[in-house]
Formats: sequence, structure tokens, C-alpha cells
Amino acid sequence: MKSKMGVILGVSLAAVLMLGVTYGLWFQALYIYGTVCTGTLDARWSIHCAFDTEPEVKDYSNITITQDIIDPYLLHVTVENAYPCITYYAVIDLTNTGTIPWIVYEASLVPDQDFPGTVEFVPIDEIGDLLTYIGHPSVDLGDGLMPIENGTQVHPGDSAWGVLAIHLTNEAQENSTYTFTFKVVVEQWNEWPTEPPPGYDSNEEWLAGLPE
Amino acid sequence: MTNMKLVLIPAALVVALFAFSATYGLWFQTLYVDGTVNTGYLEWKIVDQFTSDAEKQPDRSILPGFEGDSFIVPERKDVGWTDCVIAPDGMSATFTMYNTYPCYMAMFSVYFRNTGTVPIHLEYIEFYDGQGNLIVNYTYPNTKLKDFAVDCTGDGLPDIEILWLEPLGEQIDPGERSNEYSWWVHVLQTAPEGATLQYTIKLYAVQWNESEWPIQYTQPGPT
Repeated sequence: MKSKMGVILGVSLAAVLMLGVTYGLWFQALYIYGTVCTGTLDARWSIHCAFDTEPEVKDYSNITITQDIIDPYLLHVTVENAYPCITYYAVIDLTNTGTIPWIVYEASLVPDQDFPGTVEFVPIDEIGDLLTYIGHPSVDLGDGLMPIENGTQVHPGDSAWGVLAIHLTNEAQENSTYTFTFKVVVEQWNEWPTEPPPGYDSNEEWLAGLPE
Repeated sequence: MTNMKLVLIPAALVVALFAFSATYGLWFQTLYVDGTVNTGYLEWKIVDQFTSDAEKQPDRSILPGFEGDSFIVPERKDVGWTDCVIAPDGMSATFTMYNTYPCYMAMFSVYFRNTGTVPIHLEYIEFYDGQGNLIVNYTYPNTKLKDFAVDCTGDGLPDIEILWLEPLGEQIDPGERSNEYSWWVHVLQTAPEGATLQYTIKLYAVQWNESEWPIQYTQPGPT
């Protein structure tokens, strides 16, 4: 019995000693406090000019382009007193107003099903010639402008440009209203695209078809 | 086997949740351009007319082919007369010559106005006989027309000859009135006796930029 008590005492003493060694160990704790500030992905329209191919002495129709008063992501293009075989142009850009690069993912220009003519983007390189042709004061747009089209990557502060061209054919009816919509989706550059655009089975197929 | 299922189901849920969050976690922005195109309209109307013998005017005469000058019939004969009726829609005008005789001559004019919103370009003129049959479609832009004969009565013989005086090809802006468009009419020897000679004119215009004979501007228009 005495020996059992001795063992218990010995074990307890050993345990206390070990505990004392642990608490008596010199140590230093170090920390890293981490903060992650996310950037922003944003884009805004800018309006540059709008004009048509009527000569000055026949200036009876016109095109206007305005920013929506509520929605900063919406532009309104309106052509008044339009008639066939005049082309109406609107020069716009899409500026990266965020802090991370984005890529134009889905730029889809969709006229009404019964739109009697064409609504399209003409190459931005032609804008200088267009302005000269129509006698509009020249606009120095610089070189190397990027177009608003699928695959264009825009860094913060930079812009992608587009020249919208609206042309009615002789199928257009008098005193009528026709509409079209241009939708563009921009996505963060490193997660683009999430799925292939309509009409493509894979992103690889779509990418292969993009202009150089 | 049961334990295996219990493991797989939560694992599949976790994978699905990750995929779902990756899709919706993507940062993107959607922008729109809404376009509206309101078309104008093309319209013009004859708004005024003139006939030289509408009231008690002395008859005038001229030689065939409009040779020489017109002259008032000696002794101031006043037996023939003319009138004009503009259609209610303003798109045509009907001229009638009463109690006329060979070499009788009258002068006619019309004026029209662009009542639409698009500039127009006068392209050609159509002449119809009293029964509404098209007898002449005359196009001769930017220069004077030569005279031409018209069978008003349908008997196969020309009854009158017409000398169009003003050149076609005028452009008229919305709201503006045209210049005077006038012509002379000479009654031919083959006109039947006892007939009332009637004809109708219609003037055709197109939007200015689709004329077959466009006026050239120093600043070129579209092609």
C-alpha cells in the first residue's frame, strides 16, 4: 500500500514538473494581420459625336445620342425624320472606369426583326474618313483605337470605341418607328468567358473566330 | 455501400456549390444602347392653278408647232374658255377646254407645295385623258421639254399639242412652294367638232436623294 502511494506521489510530482517546464518555456507569438481591399469592375459610355450624310443644304433629319438621366449604363440613340439612303452615325466609347481590366464578352447589336435596313458598327479606322466626307469638324481620336467587340480587353482608364451606323432601305415606311438594342457585357479579364456566346459550342471555337 | 453514398452525396453538393458560386461570383457589368428611328414622310400637293381663259378673256391663237408668237384673235373673239379643278387630295389637276377650235391656244400653270418632312425632287409628269387613261408619261429633267401631242377624246387622232415650259428637276424643301410650272396648249386640226377637251396631270416626285437626276452639291451626298 505504501508502495502504491509512493508511485502516485511520484507520478504526480513528475506531472507537476512537466507542467512547470511547459509554462516556463520562453516563447514569442507573431502575427500577420491581413486586409484585402477588392477592386471595382465598372464601365461607362462616353458620347463623342453624331452626324448623318445629308448635305448641309438638305439638313432635315438628324440623329441625337443622349445619356439616360437615371441609368448610367444606358444610352439613347434617336433618329428623327429619317428616310432611306441616308446613313446616321454615332461615335461612342466604353471606358473602363473601374480598377481592374475587363474584357468585352458579349457585344450584341440586335435590330428589331422588321428593321428595314442595317444597324452595325463600322470600323473605327474609318471614322476620320467619314468625318471628312461629311464635312464634320475633324476629331483627333489618335491611333490604335480598340473596337467595342468581343474579346477586346480594356485596362482601367482606357476605352474601346464604336461607330454605330444606321441606314434605312427603301422598305422603310413613312411615319413609322423602328428600334434596335445594343447590349454589351464586360467581364473581369481573368474569368472570361464563363460560357461560350450564343452560336458557339465552346469558347475555343469562339476565340478562334475572333479577329487578331 | 451505404457509407459510400453518405460520403458521395455531400461531396457532390460541395462541388456543385463551388461551381455555382464561381458562376455568380464573376464580376461583370452590362451596358445598353437603346435606339429609336422615327421616319419622316413624303408628301406634296398642288395648291394653286392658273388658266389663261378662265373668264371673259379674248381667245388666243398660235400656229401649229407653236411657231411664232401667240396672238389674240382679231375682233376679240371670246367663245372658248378653260377651267381647272384640283383634286381634293391635291395630287392631280384636271383641265378642261370648252368650245374650242383649231389653233385655239391657252396657257396653264400649277403650283405645288412640299407638305411632307423630306425634301423632294420633281421627277416626271403624267398626262391622262378625260377617261383617266394614261396617255403621256413625260420625263425630261433639267431642260425644256419639247412639245408633244395628246389624244384627249380617244379617237386615235391627236387633239391638242402641249409645250411644257419649265424644266423639271426642281428640288423643294419641306414647307416650301414650288416655282410656277406652266405649259401652252394648242388645239390641232384633227380635234373633233363638238368635243370638250379634257386632260389631267399628275406630278411625281421622289425623296431628293433617290432622284434619277440628282442635283449635284459641292458637298457630296451619299451613294
